[in-house]
This record gives sequence, structure tokens and C-alpha cells, in this order.
Amino acid sequence: MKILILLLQIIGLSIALSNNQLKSLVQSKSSKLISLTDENFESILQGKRDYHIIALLTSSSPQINCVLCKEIGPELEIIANSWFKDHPNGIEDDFDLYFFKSEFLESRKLFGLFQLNNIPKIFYFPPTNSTANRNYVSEKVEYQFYQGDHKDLMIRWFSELTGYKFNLYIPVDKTKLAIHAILGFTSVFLLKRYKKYVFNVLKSKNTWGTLSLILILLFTTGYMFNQIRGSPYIIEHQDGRREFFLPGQQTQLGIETQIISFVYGILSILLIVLIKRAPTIKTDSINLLLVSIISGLIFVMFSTLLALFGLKGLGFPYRFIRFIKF
Amino acid sequence: MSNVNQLTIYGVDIQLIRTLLKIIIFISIAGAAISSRLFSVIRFEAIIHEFDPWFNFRATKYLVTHSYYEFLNWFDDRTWYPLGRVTGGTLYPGLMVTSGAIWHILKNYFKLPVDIRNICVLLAPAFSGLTAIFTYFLTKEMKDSSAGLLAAIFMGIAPGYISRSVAGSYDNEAIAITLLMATFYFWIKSMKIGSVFYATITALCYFYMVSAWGGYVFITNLIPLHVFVLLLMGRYNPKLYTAYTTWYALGTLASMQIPFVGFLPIRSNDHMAALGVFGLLQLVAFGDYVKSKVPNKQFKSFLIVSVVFVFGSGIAALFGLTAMGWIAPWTGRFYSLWDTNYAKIHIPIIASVSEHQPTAWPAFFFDTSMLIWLFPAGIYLCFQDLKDEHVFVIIYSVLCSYFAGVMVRLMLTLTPVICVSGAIALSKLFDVYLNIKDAFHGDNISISKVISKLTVLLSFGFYLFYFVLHCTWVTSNAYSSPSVVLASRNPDGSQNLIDDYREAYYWLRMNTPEDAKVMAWWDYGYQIGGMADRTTLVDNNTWNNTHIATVGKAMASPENVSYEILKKHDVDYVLVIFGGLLGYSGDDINKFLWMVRIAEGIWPDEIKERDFFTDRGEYKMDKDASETMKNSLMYKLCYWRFSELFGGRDGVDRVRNQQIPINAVPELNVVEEAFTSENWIVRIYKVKDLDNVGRDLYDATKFENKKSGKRNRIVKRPKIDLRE
Repeated sequence: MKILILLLQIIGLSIALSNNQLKSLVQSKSSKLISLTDENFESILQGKRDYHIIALLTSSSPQINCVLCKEIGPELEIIANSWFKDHPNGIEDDFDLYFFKSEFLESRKLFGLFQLNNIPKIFYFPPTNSTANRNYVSEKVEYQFYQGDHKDLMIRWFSELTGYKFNLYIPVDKTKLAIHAILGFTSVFLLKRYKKYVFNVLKSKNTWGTLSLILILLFTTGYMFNQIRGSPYIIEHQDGRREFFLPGQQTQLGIETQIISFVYGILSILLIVLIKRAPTIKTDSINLLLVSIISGLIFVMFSTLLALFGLKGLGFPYRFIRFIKF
Repeated sequence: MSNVNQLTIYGVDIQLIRTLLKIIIFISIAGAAISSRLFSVIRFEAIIHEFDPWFNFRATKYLVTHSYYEFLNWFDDRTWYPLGRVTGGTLYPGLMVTSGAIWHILKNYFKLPVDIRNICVLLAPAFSGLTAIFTYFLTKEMKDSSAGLLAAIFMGIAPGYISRSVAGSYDNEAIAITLLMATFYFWIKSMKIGSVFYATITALCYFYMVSAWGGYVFITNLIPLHVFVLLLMGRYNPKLYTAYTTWYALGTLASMQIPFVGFLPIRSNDHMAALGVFGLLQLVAFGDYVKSKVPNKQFKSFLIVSVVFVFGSGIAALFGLTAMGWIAPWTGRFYSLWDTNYAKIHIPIIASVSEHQPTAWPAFFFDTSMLIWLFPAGIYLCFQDLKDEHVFVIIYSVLCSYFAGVMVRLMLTLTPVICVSGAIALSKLFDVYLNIKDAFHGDNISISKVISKLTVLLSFGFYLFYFVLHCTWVTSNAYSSPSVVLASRNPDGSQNLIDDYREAYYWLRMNTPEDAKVMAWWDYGYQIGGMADRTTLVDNNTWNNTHIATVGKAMASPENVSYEILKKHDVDYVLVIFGGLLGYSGDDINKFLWMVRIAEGIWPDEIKERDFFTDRGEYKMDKDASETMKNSLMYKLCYWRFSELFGGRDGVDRVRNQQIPINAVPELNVVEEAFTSENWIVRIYKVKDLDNVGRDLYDATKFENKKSGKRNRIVKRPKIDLRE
């Protein structure tokens, strides 16, 4: 048995999988974006190939935190699935086309061979007759990422290289549909059932007040920035160090929004306590205690805010308390 | 409180003292607001800043030298050559008319002939004083005059507003924020007392605002939204009806008198909310009338039927009219506010502008300092009272927080409401702790009460002091640079001014024929028009994308292709901005990809963005630069003879940190160097005429080079003996 595998491997080194083998492999999978790993990449890429290959080298692991990878992956899968919907049995009298996706954690060797230092990459491997060792490394064509609709740009590139026409079938997400239906149904039902309470909540000043304040706190602390730029929540370095604040006025992390809106919120609440609550305490000594504690807290929080703002590094000179010595 | 009126101090009525004090405070606030905006005038000189202000300045000069009707009918043949621009019909004239009027008044009534440039430079600071006063009145409507005074001083020195109104930043926003505050104040006033008079003034302010800034759409939607929310809250009353209908009818009619706006108020969807609420208000008023006449039960069924009917027909009408093309779809900028990816995909020109980027949290704190955390507290206090006018502040704050988060430039509209609401919170605090009456129990003074009051007052007094420091620091460091003149520091700390732009524009003005056509990227169009007074192909009014793409193609193509374009457009000079020597990052090479992209949008077969990258997908200028890049006109114009500066070694591009090889000097055949500024920031080339013996320009240049023995490397010395 072992010898057989060894034999297969030796053969595999010089001859790639045949078109029919690949076709049956693809037909058996539900997702037509087949995964390319350290185990199978030699057999697919090495040696003679009588098919086109498009491979996405990517990673979805949170440590690498690649935003573009997460955008590209599903889009390429849609293209791959659409292609096989049009050509379930391949193309009769021309080369077939297969789509692959390689995850960094499962194929470190492959990534090393291509000497990648950034991802995602999309490579195109044309059909070849060469049987040279690792011929695929030199035969690859790299895709350039540009701004715009990725699906459109990729399809244009693919058809330029292969000469095939691509149609897109964007699938209806059935689970999403079901969830929406269930949500809609239950909410209508609850609305009907607890009409009185719902109206009371909707009429209540407190509901709207809380909602407005939360929205204001989120918007003024860069929530929309995170949404639009897709900024990472936190940056974890390899040695376990964590970065909470990015320097620079034009950038921020997801967690910064949370920290800063918390600071603003606490400061606002303390101020309101000073205005609304403290004057109602008639005992002088307790009043004094409360007022001094709250004033102290405001001072500390405000100093923290200034220190955090100083971390963003603009040469900002003002601090109340120096938490960190520079 | 009748006994208050009788109180006197040294025989002077206390009300009089109060008024006097208020006037003094106003004058000091206006003084603080104006003087903190003068940093750039003191450091540099009274000069117009940035890009757009140069156009406004040029238009104002046209207005004061011609009649008003000539101004409205102005067809400008010195921009967008050869198309020209219908300038009078495509600008908001409010700003120019304002400074023109001030100029005429000073000249004719006060006999003070002031240079129009000085009026333009100082207009924004002067109006900021007015803004502070209107903010006072607006906040006074929300709480009382002490909150108003706080709001006025906040508004006067908050960097969020200063950023757009320093001396020299002669832009529409300079007067628009004043008008925004005025319109809102009069709206609140008229809505509160149901006065037709105040509603008319609101409409007048609104008209002024429409004539001054495209952002008037914000008012057009905010006031109807306010009314709509009040209706939902069941707060309909005849005062609201009077105020809104008067404002809407007059304001809309008035706004249609601006040529650039025209029939937009009844055709564009941006304005439909105002119309819808106008209709709704009629129905509600009618319903109110019916309700007072018929029994309750019949009214209920009447209500349900009519609401369903009106809602259905309204939606149908909106869709129907849009489908038939009677009302325009929403504008692109409006889309990009709601669907944040819209601009990125569909409108590269909007996406390429840095003002349209989302805002990260430091910008909010940078622009408003501690007001940003007083802001939610103020909104909370508004919710506690929740009168009609407080609803306005709440809607304004939530909406504008969102807008400011999506687009940096809209910080400007958020700042006023932050000031108002911060002032409300702070003055509530001072109301409680400045009231020293409750520290006295009969004749005894409660020590602990006094201490607790002092703690709060002193600490907040300190924060206010810090606030002033913060605002001054931000204004002085971030918002006081004219960007036409660049400042840097020498190693010994002394200031070094880099004045290349004006040097080059002045050269153009003095050394080229008056009708010379200058081609440059659109960013510099207004400045060339304003400072050099030469005809440009494209400018910052980006109304014709194809024409911009033509310029982009000329820059991105090889010389022979470019030459054809240059000749077809009668171009005499080509101007490029190059920061490689000095390390000035806002130069044309860094903007070059946008030129390529915009050109590719029109000629996808001839210009391909991919060709400008190296094989590994890098944007490089050194020896690895792609052939297309090396052959492009832009590359040649920027690096022509650049490496000669480095005495036989490779040139170093300090912006991109790349080596420009000495042995691959770009060759120029169709243009020749005419001028390069001191720090090489501006380089101007003259387009060669067709050869006088009919040769190809390539051959002619080769022949010239051969004749002079060497390639055109060394500087030609003037032949003195020939001149004698």
C-alpha cells in the first residue's frame, strides 16, 4: 500500500491530474471553488496541464486580518459556481477551466514556493506541455487588484486570458430569506399581541432619548469610519502584543470607537449627575462628598481622554496628568 | 419680578447695566472670533487660500468691474478652452454679491476705497462674528441668555468652524454658516409665536442661503423633518401651520430666482420632502378642522380612510413622476451620503476628493475639544424639557452626527449644534452652582456648600481655560496655512517660506502672451486663472468629465500622441507640479493615477492603468518603471534633467524614495523647458511649434542636438560677444 502511494507521488511529480479526474472531483463538490492545500497542489499544478487554472491565495484567519481577502473569497466563489452552472460537463473541444482557493494555514509550503509577502493573490496558470520541475512557478500570471466591482474586474481579466465568456448567477441566500421571513412574522405577531406595550415604548421619551444618545455617541466616535473602511477591531501581533490605538488622525481601530464612546458617555453621565442629582441632596456633608468625588472623576476621565488623544500622535501638547512618560 | 426693574447700582438701572455688559461681551466675542482667524494674515500676508477661493475671488473682481447683469450673464472664455463656461448661470452668487456690496458701500458712502482683495480676505472672519451673535439668539430660544452667551463664545472659537473661515479662505461656507444659524433662529422664533413676519424673515434668510451655498438642501430637509416629527408627536397647532406654510411658499419662490437653482425645488427629489410636508400640513389642518366639527367616532374612520388614500397616492405620484422623468432622481452626492459605497464605485471624481472621506474620532475631538462630551449631556437635558424647539436641536444633532461621520467636510454643519448643546449643558451646571443663595442658612454660611460649589466652578473654569488653549493651538497649527505658500522650519528654527506657486504663476503672467493657453491638471485651474490670468483647459469646476479625461490622456500618453492633443487644443504651455526635489507629496506624480483612471474611463483601448505599474504591480519611477510610464508625457516633464542635479549620481525622488537613474534621462521632443521654480515644485514647458521645414519634431530635435555637438545637457551660456 505504502509503495503504491509512493509510486503515485512519484508519478504525480511529473504528471498533473488528468482533466477527467479533476472534472469528477469538481462535480462531486458542492462549492466549485476547490481548496488547494499542501497535500494536493503538486498533483494539480505540476507538469503537463490540459486545463486552465485560476487560484486564489488567501487567508481568512483572524491573526492575519486581511480585509480584501474576505471581500474577494465569496465573489470568486460566485464566479466559479456560475461557470460550472453554465458548463456542468466542461467544454467539449477546448481546455476546461477550474477554480481553486488556497488557505494560508493549510498550504504554507505553497505560499513559500511563490515567495509571497502579501495576500490576497490571484494567479492564472495556462495549459502547458512543459514537464519541468515546478514549471508552474514561472508560468503563473498575476491579477492586479483595482478599485471597483471585483466580480466585474475579475471576469474581464479571466475572459481576456482564457477567451471564454462568463455569465454571473448570483444565488439567492435561502437561509437569509428564511430568517427574514421568521423575523418579520414574529415581529408582526408580537406587535399584534402586545400592541399596547409597543405603543407605550414608542411613545416614551426615554426610548427615543436613549436611542438618540447612543447614535450620537457612536457617530461622533468614528463608527461610520469603521463601517466604511472596514477597519479591524484590534491588531494582534505574532508575539501576543495587542494594539488598541493606531497613531494618526486619519485612522482608527474598531475598539477605539468603543473606548472613546465609553469615555464620552461616562463624562456626560457624571456631568448630568452634577446638574440633576447633586442639588437634590440636602445634607451638606454628603453633598460635598458626592460633588468632590464626581469632580475628581471628571478630572481623571478628561485627563484620560487627553492622554488617549495624545496617543494619536499629532504633537498635541496638552495633558492634565502624564500617565505615560515620553 | 417687578422689583428687579427697580434695582439700581450707584443710581444706574440694573437692566441698563445688564444690556451694557451684554454689548461689551458681544464685542469681545466678535473680537476673539475675528482675531483668532487672523493667524495666516499675520504670518504670511493678506492672500487668498487654497483653490476654490481663487475662483470666487476672480468672479468677485469681475463683479466689481462689471455690472450685476453682466455678471449674471458672464460667459467665461478663459476657462475650459475651447468650450468656455457659462459662469453666471453655474455659480452661487451670494458670496460675490456680498463682498461686492460691501465694496460699493465702503466706496460710495464712506468714501473708503478698499482693495477688493482685502474685503475678500477678511470677509470670513467678519461673518464669523455675526455667526456668534446668531448662535446667541438661537441658544437663547432654547434656554436663556446665559446659555446663549456661552454658545456664542464656543461658536466664535471652535476650530470646527474656524477650519472653513480663516482669513483668506474666501469660500461659500464663509457666509453660509452665518446664514444657517440665522435661518434656524428665525425659524424657531416664527414657529414658537406663529408669526408671519418672522416666517418671512426666515424665508429671506433661506433665500440668501440658497444664493450662497449648495448646502442649503440641508435646511430644505431639516425644517420639514422638524415639522413632520412634531406632527407625529401630536403637537400640531395653528402657529406651526402659519410658520411653515409662509416659509415654504416664500422660500421656494425666492430660491427659484437663483439661475443655478432654477426649477430644481419642484423637480429634484432632494426638495420633495419639503413639498410633501407642505401637503401633509394642509391635510392635518383640514383634519383638525373636521375634528372640531364632527363626533369622535366618525372622525376616526374619516382619518383612517384619508391617511391610507393620501399615503398611497403620494407614493404613486412620486414613483410615477420620477419614471416619467418629470422629477429628477437624487443627485450623486446625495446618494453617497446614504449608500457609502456609491461614490467609490460610480463617481471617481467625488471619491478622489479628500474632503469626502469618512471621519475618524480624533477629528471630532480635534475640532471641538471638550464640547464633544458636553454635547450628549446637552441633548439629554433637551430631552428633559422637550419643548418644540428642543425637538429641533435633537433632530439636527442626530442627523448631523451621522453626516459628519460619513464625510469630513460636514463637520462644519455639526459644529454649531455641538456648541449650542454644549452651552446648554454648561449653563445648566453654572445655574446650579453659581446660585450662592442656598449656601446661606439665615445668617450662617455653610462651609461645605461653599467648598462643593467652588470645586465645581473652579474645575470647570479651568476646563474652559484649557478649551481656549486647545482652540488656539489647533487654529494656529492646523488651519492657518494658505497652502499657496508653504512654510517649513530651518534646522535653527527660523521659518523658511516656499513660494514656488506664486513665483511660477507670476512668471506666466509676465512672460507669456495674454491669450496663451496653459494645460495643467484640474486642481490648478482656478489658481492659474486667478494668479496668472491665463486661459486654462480644465479647472476645479469639474463639469465636463470628457474634457478632464482629455487632459489626463495627454499627460498619460507618449509624446507623439500628446502632441496631437496639445495642438488640437491650441495649448502653448504645459504646467506640472513636481515635489520630488523637496519632498512635497501633493504633486502630480502622486495624482497621476487619477489622471490615468479618468482617461481610461473614456478611452479604455488607449490608456490602461495596468500598463503604468511594473510587472510586480508596483508604482515605480526608478529603473524598474514600466515602459508606458517612462514614455508618458507626465513622467518626462517631471524628471526632465532631474538627475543632473545630483552631480553624476542617480537622482533621489524624496517623495517616493526612489532612485531616478542618471543613464536613462527622458528625452523631450515636442516641448521645451520654459521655466522651473526655485524648488522645482512648478515646471512649465512650452509646446514647440510645427517645424518650419516640415520635419518630424523628433528628427528636428535630433538634428538640433547633433548640431550643438552635445545633447542638450549643459546650460547654454548667453553668447555675450554676439550681443555687442
